[in-house]
Amino acid sequence: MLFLSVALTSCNAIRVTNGAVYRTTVGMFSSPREVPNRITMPVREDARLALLWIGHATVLLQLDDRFVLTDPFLTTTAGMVTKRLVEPGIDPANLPPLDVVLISHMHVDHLSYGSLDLLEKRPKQLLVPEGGLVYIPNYKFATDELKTWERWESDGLRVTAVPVAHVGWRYGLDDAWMEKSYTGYVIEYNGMTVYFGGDTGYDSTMFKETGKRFPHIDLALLPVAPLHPREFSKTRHTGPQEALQIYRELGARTMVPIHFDTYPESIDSLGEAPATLRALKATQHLNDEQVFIMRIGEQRVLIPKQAGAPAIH
Amino acid sequence: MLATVDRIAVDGRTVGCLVLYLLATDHPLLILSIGGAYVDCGENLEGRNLEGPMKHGTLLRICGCTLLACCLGCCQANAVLCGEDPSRAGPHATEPEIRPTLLWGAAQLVPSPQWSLLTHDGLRFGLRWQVTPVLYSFGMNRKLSPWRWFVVEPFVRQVGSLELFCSPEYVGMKEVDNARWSFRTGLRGYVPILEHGEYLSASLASSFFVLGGKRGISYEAGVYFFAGIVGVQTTYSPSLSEAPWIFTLRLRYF
Repeated sequence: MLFLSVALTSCNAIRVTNGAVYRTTVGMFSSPREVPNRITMPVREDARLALLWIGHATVLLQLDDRFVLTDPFLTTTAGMVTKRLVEPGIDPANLPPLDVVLISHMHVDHLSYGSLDLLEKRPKQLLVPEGGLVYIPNYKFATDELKTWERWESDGLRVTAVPVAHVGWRYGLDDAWMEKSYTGYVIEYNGMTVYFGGDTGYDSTMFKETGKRFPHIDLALLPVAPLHPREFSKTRHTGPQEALQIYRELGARTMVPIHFDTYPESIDSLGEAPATLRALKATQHLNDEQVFIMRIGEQRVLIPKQAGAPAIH
Repeated sequence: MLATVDRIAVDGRTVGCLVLYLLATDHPLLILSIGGAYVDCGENLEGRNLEGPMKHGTLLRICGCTLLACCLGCCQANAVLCGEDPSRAGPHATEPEIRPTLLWGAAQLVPSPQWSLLTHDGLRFGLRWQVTPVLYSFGMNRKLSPWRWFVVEPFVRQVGSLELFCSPEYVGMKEVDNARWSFRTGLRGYVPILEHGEYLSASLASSFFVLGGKRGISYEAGVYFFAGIVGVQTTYSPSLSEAPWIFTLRLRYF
């Protein structure tokens, strides 16, 4: 059972610790917490740039008339075993047509076949990191790989794969050849820029280089968990401290934390990551315009549409 | 889609059948699929005379084989017709540099426990190892090579595939020529059921076995969970009267 947990449900091996196994086992017998007043109409007419945190690394982005979904995890369990703690922040049936769906890496909480099946005919395009197609079934929508710094573009919507520090395997043993199957993305449209970190450890060089190449990032979606055990986790996962460092190195206008409190991913206490981030925010005198901690199911307009303003093309 | 069933006859008796599927569409791929090819030589190999009326068992075996072939052919057709249009292919489709590693070698040594149901003496514990010399995955992304040699990723197998397998088995079967070991080789088809086979998949197989001085044909069905890492299989060998059924807890990692 421990082996299966590692192979199928985890972003890293810390899941095998007693605390994680306990939480996973307990979680299997409880229902995910309901999200009150779930949004049913996610398309915002008043927004140029809006985001809806669906949970974990799943974010619905609206850039004017374009919609991007990151790492869709909409199913009840991750990898058959681990049940989510909170239901998805939107009913998948209420998602709009999606211009691009982005997969950051191959782990079951980021590449969820059941979730992609739920999207049905909504996506036009699925983008995966280099070497990732081997784990993508034949869908009706287009599927393509992007190498680091490579760009995909369609009608002005531009997605660039950017370097992050993580691992590319799905089953463990495939680590020997799935060496590049992880990435972050930068999404650009009509002068707006969003950074999606997926799941990453901290590597200053990578983020400084990304910040240099994309000097006007409006929004950075950065993972802030799992936290523990830090020594083991830090090469693959950023905590709040490192996430804030990345936010600065990217030079982003706003940071929104992701990848926490959605399912029992490690021995972290529920709420520990956002609480740590709040404390750091206070000591570093960061306001809500700079770092905004969202609830699952919450939608936020970052750049409102100005009345009468023409669309930027 | 064209399906033909060819009867293979020896001395006026049907001893096997061959099912061919030819799929010709406007799809850029022309799929020629041999859904199943099987010659039932079981009785002959056991040294019996081929003359005489055809037994019901032989007919059943041919029917079973045809059913397996039909299932696989339909899955392949479904994969082709419902899949992504390859004309939309992007510039990159990276072939994974799959290779045997020490860890993979160690994983192959892990046996699957099995229990033979003896006709007169209850259950007999045994162990089964499995090797896949070649596998064709008809469910995986069509931008990539569907062929695998020995090292097969769980997804590539469980998403829908056809594999040639070889299984040395420890059977400890003193009832059959005092045989301790058995060897079987055959063809197994996997079909995905839930989450593209990663949560649940099933298989049908037909194999040829050698157990002591006995040889014959077996039929097998299986279901698998956790990307095929855990599964249960049942094997039926009609010509092995001493122990026609084997139940296996299939443990397989790559």
